[in-house]
Formats: sequence, structure tokens, C-alpha cells
Amino acid sequence: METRRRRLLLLVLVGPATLILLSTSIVPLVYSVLLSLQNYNLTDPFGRRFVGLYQFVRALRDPRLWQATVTTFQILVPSLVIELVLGIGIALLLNRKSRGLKAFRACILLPMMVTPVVVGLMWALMYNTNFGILNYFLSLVGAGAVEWLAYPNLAKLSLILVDIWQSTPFVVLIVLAGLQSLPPLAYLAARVDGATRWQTLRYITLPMLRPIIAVATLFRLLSLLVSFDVIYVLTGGGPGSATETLSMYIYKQGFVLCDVSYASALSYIFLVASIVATTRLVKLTAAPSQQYSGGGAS
Amino acid sequence: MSNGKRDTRTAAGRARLMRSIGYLLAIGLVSLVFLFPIYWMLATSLKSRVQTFTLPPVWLFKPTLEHYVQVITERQLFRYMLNSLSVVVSATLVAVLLGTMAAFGFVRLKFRGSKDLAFWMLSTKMLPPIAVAVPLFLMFRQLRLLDTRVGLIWIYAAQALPLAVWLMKGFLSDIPIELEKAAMVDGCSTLGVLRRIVIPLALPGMVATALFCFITLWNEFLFALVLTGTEAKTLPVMAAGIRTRRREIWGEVGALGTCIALPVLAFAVLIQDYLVRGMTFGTVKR
Repeated sequence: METRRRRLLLLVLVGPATLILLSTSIVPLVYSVLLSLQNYNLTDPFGRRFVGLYQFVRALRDPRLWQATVTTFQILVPSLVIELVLGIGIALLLNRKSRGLKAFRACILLPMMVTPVVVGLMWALMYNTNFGILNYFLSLVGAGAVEWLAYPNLAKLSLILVDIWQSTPFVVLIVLAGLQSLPPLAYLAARVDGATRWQTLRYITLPMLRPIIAVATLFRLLSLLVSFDVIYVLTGGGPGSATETLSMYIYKQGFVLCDVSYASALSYIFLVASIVATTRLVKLTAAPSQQYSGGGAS
Repeated sequence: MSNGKRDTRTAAGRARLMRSIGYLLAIGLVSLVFLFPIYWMLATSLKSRVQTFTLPPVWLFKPTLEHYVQVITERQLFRYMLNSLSVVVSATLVAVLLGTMAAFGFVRLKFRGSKDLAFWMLSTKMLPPIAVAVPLFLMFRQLRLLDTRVGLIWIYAAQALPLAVWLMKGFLSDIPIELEKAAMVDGCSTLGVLRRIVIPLALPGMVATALFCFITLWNEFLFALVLTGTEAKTLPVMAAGIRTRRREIWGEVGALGTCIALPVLAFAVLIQDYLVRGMTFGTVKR
């Protein structure tokens, strides 16, 4: 009797959340499998047929898919590395117990809270070739006007800059939180042993920060992998297809060209690849998190 | 700081003062870089049309609200704001309510597979949104939910649920279980404990969670872009449709951006103590 009531209670408590999440994750994913095995194009609803694995074969031969994969990483890797280095650097520089730090935290958290679409608009104004403030600053140091969004590589760089502006604060805040929770005893011991500042940083601070840096890396990686909003507003994937990331390419196949079957197949490839990549990263970075090993004496 | 002031005559005191000044300068410089784009948008929205693209830029000007008036009258700001508000607030309420219930189940009534289920909920957040956007679009079309607020509320509630569950899990496990046990000894049922003990104690956490869900959903773009058309269009989708190439409307772009971003920024400052916790789904507590 008791267990039956307990089960009922659990069902009432956990059931609704589970149902809603099922309906928006597993159900569409199953439906997506069915779609990817057909050749359904919304512009041609009567030509809908079962075509087996054709869409996946097509994807493997699609140069634009490879291009989009490369583009995604060309934007992702520099953004991630610079955000981590800059974020950890700023956090180390500013780690002190002071009233200034609290005000600083309130200021620096603002960029990451601004609606991504608005971030795109805001930078579009600043990147404008003739009247943008960035080119004005450049002209002050004697540089000519730059067409920020007109050339393939420059457009990628512009997107990287925006992401660095918006997401470095995330790394700073997480690392600051980690720094302020490190045990003071370890530092005392280091001082007693006569460690220099650099040695303290290298053998005490950074190894102990490792789990928190892993968390920051993982969250940045996940959101960079699927970033869409700012690209949509700022470049729309252009010029040409220079900033067309995987999310952008799937969006165009599914909602501009209306090829929903092909978009589903692409989604699956994207999904599996990102799951494999992130689980490997989790194993790589988070494994030795709980031990105070020899301080990374490799 | 007062220490440094007291013994500026000694060399060590002077060095300490210099270090403090250097520290404040560093803080100021970093803040300046990160705040400038936001300031620039705000300034653009308050300048007159000509001033918005004058170079060198006008740093001191008489603020005007003409662009805000334009955004309200010509771009129907309030209509889209009402769409955004009603969808986001409803979805937030659903997510916090269901999320708190589920979190209570996970924390206090541990059952076989409860850990796996909680992790599965978190993992739905790792799904690339674009990967489910296509099938959801077709499902919505079949169910006649395209371009309706109800449909968007459903999706948004699901978007916020993992966040709500994991944040509330953290907040609920902070509550000492002795209080609940004492209430049970006094004859309170489990649901009674939830209503009389847990929810009142977890209320600050619930408010922080709700603000977090609100911010996340208010900023959401992709699902709103794909699943709404004209009727249920939200603010970010409307804003993304503006052409920034035409410099004559820069003031409007600034005003619109400010109207969208400002409420969220205000909330963000309110919950800054929980920020790290929220942004990492409770994995980093402080």
C-alpha cells in the first residue's frame, strides 16, 4: 500500500516534466528519423517517397556540408581559445577581495545577458564601413576604413570578435567564483615553502582550477557549436557562404529551400558528431578533477 | 584602502597605494571595453537622426526620445512586446512549477533511476536546437500550432525545464531535511510538507530560478523564428527583420535594442549572486 502511494506521488511530481521534455526531444528526434528516410520537400508534397539512406549518402558527397563544418570550427576554435585565455587572465588579474570587484562583476556580466539578436544589431551599427564607430577609432590611429563584413576571412574575424566580447565575461565570472573558493591553506603552505608567484600560479592555482576550467570550456563549446542568432543578424551566412556554420546550413536547407528530409539527415549527422565530440571532451578534461595530484608535474 | 592612506609616508605604504590605484585602473579599463557597445547603442537611441551618423561622433548631446516614439508607433513595439511577455511569463511559470515538483521528487524521494532521469533531463539541453526545429515545425503544422502563442509556450516551457529542475535541485537540497521530518512526525503528508515547509523555504531560490528562465526565454530566437509568423511573433524575431544597412534608421535600431535588452539587464543585476550557478545549471555553486 505504502509503495503504491509512493509511486503515485512520484508520478505526480516527476511525470509532467518528463512528458513535456519527451514531447520536445525524443518525439521530434524519432519523427526526424522517418523524415530523413524520405525525399520530402515542402514545395513538392506529392513527390514524397521512401528513399532509404539516400539523404545520408547525399550528405557525405555534399561539399557545402564540409565547408560548413570547416567554417564552424574556424569560428569556434579561435573564439574558444581566446575567451579562455583572456577570461582566465582577467580573473587572475582581478582576484582580490575588494568592493571594486563587486561593482566590476555587475558591469562585466551585462554583455552575456544582452539578447543575442540585439548583440547582432548593436555590432552591425559599429561595424558599418562609412559611419561605424570602429572605423572611426581606426582612423584616429591612421588606419583606413575596413569593410568588416564584406570579405570572407574578415567576416569570420568580426563574428569571433563579437563572441569574444559577449562570452569572455562568462569565463571570467566562473573562474573568479572558482578562485574565491580555493583553500587558503594551500597558499600558506606554498609561501612557507618559499614558492615564487609564478610557481604558485603554475603548481597550485591552475591545477586546482582545472575542474572549473573544464566546466567553462564545456559550456562555451556547446554554445559555440550551435551558435546561430548573431550570425543570422550580422552576416546571414555571407558573404557568399563564408560564415555559413552547420546550424546556419541546416536552417537554410530546411526552411529556405524547404528540403525537410535532407535537413533532418543533416541534423542527425550534426547531432551524433556533437555528442561524440562533447563526451570525449568531458572524459578528457573532467577525469582527474577530484584529486590533488602532484600539481600537474608532467 | 584606508590603510594605504594612513601610511603613505612609508615606502611600503606608497607601493601599496600605487598597487590599489593600478588595480582600480585595470578594473575600470576592462569594464570600459565590455560596456562600450552597450553604451553606444543607448547613446545612438537618444541622439537625433543626423547626430547618429555624424563623424567624429558627438559625445555630448541633448537626448531626444523621438526614436522611441517611432518604435512604438511605426513598428508596433507594444504588440510584439505583449507577445513576448505573455509567452515567456507563462512558460516560465509552467517550468518553475513543474521543475520544482520534479526536483523535489529527485531530492527527497530517491528512486531507482532517479539520477539517470535527472541527467537525461539535463541532456535535452545539449540537443542542438536546429536539430529538432525541422521535425517540430512539421509537428506544429499537423497540430495547427504554428504561429500560436500556446505552441510557443509549450516549446519554451520545455526549453526552460532542465534549467528549472537542476537549479531547484540545488536549492532544495540546501534545505535541512530535519524540518520536513518534524512536520511529518506531526502528521503532515508529503504534499503538505511540500506546500507548508518546502515551498516557503525555497521561495528565494524559486524567484531566482524564475528570473533565470525568464532571461533565457526572452532572449530565445531560433524557435520563435521558425515556429511563428505574424500573429505570435516575438520581439527578437521582429528586431532581426530590421535592415541595419540603411543608416537613416540607426536611431530606431538603437531604441528597439534598448527596449529589448534593458529589462533583461535589470534582472541580471538583481540575480548576480546566483549568476554563475544559473549559467552552469547548478554545477558550479558558490
